[in-house]
Amino acid sequence: MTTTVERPRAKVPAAQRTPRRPGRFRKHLWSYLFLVPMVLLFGGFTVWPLMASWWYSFFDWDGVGTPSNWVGFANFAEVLRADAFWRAFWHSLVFSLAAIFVELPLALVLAILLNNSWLRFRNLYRLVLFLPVVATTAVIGIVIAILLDPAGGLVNRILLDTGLVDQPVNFLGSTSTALPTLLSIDVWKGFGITLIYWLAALQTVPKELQEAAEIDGAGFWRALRFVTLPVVMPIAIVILLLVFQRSLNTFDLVRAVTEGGPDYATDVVPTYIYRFAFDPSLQAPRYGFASAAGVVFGLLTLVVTLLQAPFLRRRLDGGRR
Amino acid sequence: MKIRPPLIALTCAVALALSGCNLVGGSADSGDAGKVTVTVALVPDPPGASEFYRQQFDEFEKANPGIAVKVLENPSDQQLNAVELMFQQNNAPDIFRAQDDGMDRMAARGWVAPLDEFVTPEFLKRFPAGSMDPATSGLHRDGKLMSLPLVWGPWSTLRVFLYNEDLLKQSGYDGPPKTWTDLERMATKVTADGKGKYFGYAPTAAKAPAVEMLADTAVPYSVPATGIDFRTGKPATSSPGLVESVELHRRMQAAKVMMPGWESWDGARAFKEFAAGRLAMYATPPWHVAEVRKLAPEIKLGVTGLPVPAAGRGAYLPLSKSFSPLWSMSAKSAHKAESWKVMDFLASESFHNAYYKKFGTLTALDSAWKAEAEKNPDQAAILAVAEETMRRAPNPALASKGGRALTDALAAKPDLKHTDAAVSSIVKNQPFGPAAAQLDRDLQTFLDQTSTELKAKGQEGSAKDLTFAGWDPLKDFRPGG
Amino acid sequence: MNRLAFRRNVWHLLLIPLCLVWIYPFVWMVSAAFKTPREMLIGGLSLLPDDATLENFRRAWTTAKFSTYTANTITYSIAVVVLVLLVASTAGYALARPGLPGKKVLVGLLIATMFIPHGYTIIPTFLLVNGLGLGNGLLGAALAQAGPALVVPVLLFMGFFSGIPKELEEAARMDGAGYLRTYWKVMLPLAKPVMGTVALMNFIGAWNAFFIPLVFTLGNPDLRTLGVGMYGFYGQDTTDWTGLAAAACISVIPIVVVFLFLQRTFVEGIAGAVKS
Repeated sequence: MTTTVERPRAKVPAAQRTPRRPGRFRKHLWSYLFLVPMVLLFGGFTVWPLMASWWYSFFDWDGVGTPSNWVGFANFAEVLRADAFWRAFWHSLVFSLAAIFVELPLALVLAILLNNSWLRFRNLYRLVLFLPVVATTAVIGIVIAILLDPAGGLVNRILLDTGLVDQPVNFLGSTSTALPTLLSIDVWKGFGITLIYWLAALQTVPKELQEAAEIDGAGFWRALRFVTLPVVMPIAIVILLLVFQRSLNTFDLVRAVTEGGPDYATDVVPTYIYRFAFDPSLQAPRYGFASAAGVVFGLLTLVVTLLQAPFLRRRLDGGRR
Repeated sequence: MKIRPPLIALTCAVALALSGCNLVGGSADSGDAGKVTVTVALVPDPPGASEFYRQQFDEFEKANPGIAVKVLENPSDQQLNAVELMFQQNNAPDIFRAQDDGMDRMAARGWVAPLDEFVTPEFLKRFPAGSMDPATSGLHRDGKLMSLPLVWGPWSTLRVFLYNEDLLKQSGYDGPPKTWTDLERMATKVTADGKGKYFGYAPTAAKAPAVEMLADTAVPYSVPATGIDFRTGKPATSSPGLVESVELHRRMQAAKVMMPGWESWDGARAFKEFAAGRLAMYATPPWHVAEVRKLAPEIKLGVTGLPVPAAGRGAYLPLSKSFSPLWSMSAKSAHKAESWKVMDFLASESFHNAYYKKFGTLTALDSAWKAEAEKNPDQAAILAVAEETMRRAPNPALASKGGRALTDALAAKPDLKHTDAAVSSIVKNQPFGPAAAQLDRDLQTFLDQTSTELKAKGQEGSAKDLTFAGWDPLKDFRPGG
Repeated sequence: MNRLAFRRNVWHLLLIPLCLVWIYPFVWMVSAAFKTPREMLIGGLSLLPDDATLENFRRAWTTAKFSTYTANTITYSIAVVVLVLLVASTAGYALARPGLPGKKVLVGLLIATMFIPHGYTIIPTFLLVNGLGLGNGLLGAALAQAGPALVVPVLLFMGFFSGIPKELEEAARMDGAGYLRTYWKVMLPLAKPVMGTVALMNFIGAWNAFFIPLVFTLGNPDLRTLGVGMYGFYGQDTTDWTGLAAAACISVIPIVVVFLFLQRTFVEGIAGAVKS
């Protein structure tokens, strides 16, 4: 895990070969100085709230004052026993699978295409693909509801007119189609972000290399495999992590489009936690339980990530060779 | 950093100049000398309310030159969180909007000031006779007045049935369905006649709240609301009335009578479909009526009582308290006398009349709007339905401490309610009976467990507190009688 | 050559329809901003309003308090972007140094925290910012916004800097440039694509942020941002959809401007740099 983004060891001596005047210590001193602001902010705004929420997860606490009603592992036991939690976890996982195996590669292909200086209007294309990212989610929710309405919505009208279906499809209302529909909307909404990250990553590919590949007619796939991917690999792994994490935390869109329904067919962990811990109709928020559910969710995804780590490492090393 | 530094610098400078020293912040504005500032934390509900409140408070300030009202607006679903944080920051507002359970949440933390010292007999006279009785007002806790209401008492529990006269007429019906059987028959016919252009019926929103609304005409309101029959104190989700209400919807869903897509509707969708002329009938809280009118002023809208079981009515809609709490005063306010003046204004006839005029909501002071409402056909219909289909009902949360403890515990367990199982049964076309029986068993276990826990802590709370043996849901309930 | 041009233009046949479908819901949102509530909610699917109105924009301007909140939002967003860029690029640069002791642990910790949800209550953060005396201003809010958003930018900068050919840095050092100078004059200018991306994403995040600006301006509502103001359209049960659509349109404009502006950073590879 910790080594996924590390530089190959072979390079280390190269850097050490230049022990200049101030020596190694001075060099590292600077590096540590450079890390200070990040460590302070990271410690204060990420690690500390995180530790606090671990602490809260052992209490029955409503979020006001100091937690005092220690319940041990009761919150965790409740989370682990809840079928609804596991159902939500599975849906969250499906969201991340869709993001990793559909959104990520598609965005890379389009980024490569839109990175070509010979493509006219490429700035316009980029803007268009990016716009859904900044469209207000709540408004998108209602637009989608109107477009996908089984009773007279545009999409169903087109499907019926072209004879692709003979019965209107109840996209959001049927337990079998709601999740795939929501996944597609999620890919649509988040695609621009991934695209932009890929575009940034592609800027690290030296132009000479790209041009060389093009001139010797290496072919798209060969160029991708032997020129582009190896160079962008360190950033690609960050993008992968990012997409994975973002897809696990899908919340606004689910709330705006289906609120987890129908019959919880689109319930994800963030909406599950919200419903059980913060719903304004609850008498008091259950921060302790929410924190426990968050911790369990975090640990589970960490395990999933660790399972990917050896694979990532191999890709990284392969890329570097 | 070559991303056009001049441009960024310029933007920064402009922004900083515009927003002053906003980055570091400072003390809140001190206001005019000699004036007392009263802070009111409210929410922009309904949309457009921000401007309305500001205008109203401007008028109040004109009439009370010594007081300045500062409005602090929070998004509806963050109001409680925000106010809680303000209290913890020792920066609490003087007056805040906290509705229903939210008020109890605040009161439980000791943040709500009792209002009794300010209340005068003249003040109480503004409210309908008897409605401010501490035992049933809904605003008192332990005999102390903790809150003032905004909306009309029956408004929160009243349910009405809306129908589109034109659509019903096209299928040959002159009036709305009287019974569930009528409803099923008429909905089937209307949907068939609509040929996909319009539909007979929908269960109002994704969680099929219509199940509970219809069941309220068959079984005591507490059965769908909490799972418990307040006549016996026992779980009763499998009461025939509730089961039949689910089965009715299940049949209509299986026969494709209900408007497709309702499974993902939010609470504000049904009135849009109705106003668009695509939905002929549905059951709803009364606020939908005004929304339909706003979108479709000319529509032939009928407002009537909910259809009842074929065998006849088994219960009435509950009037379990006079009012819902809404405005509370902070126990930490440094200007209680001035804050009361603002609250007194918020409970004045002129404010309530202005609110009614602006939003069409029936407010707590019925004298402020009654004459006008009776001339408005929609509102007159709502008043008539309330008169006809609502009766006083027992409320354990107001009756005893133990009752409050148990209802709170039940409210924190939404998965023990019929709702999810009912929706599941309707969309998956599975019988509701077995699921209801299982829920009753779980509910009994939970009740026993909670009572034991409460007892261990030396607190009240047992099935006895949920039992009102003499209550007949077909009659007005009299506490103690 | 003609065949090449043809092959290149064929892509438009794919891209144009894709983009039309892609942007349709967005265009719908824009058109809703000009419709009456009646037409938006129960009218047909037409993109062109029957009876275009600017009333929504007037209402949006007052309801979302654009006039008072815009300057706050700009200040806040720029503060967040500057904080994130400075802190993440320095940290990313340091972490890309080979053989830095403790680096593995730190990077591992960074990645691990990406997945553990950051607490479901703002209270620890609130206590911290309040303790620093920044509880009622935009700087506290900017810190609270930038802090948790750091991990990805740090990793991106680290990934980028470790991909830059060593020769470049060594050349700079040969010229007598120190650590700071190398970072500021040589490496950072190369990192423009990453800076552009990080700036864009954090700008959007800050521009639309809701919870943090709300919580950190409780005592001082005049300091709120548009992300908070947008909630003026939501009542408890109903929403002013056309007003919201209009406000969404207005508030998207600055983001589009920033996007178009930062987009230039994606077209300059590091090719030229390697040669020099």
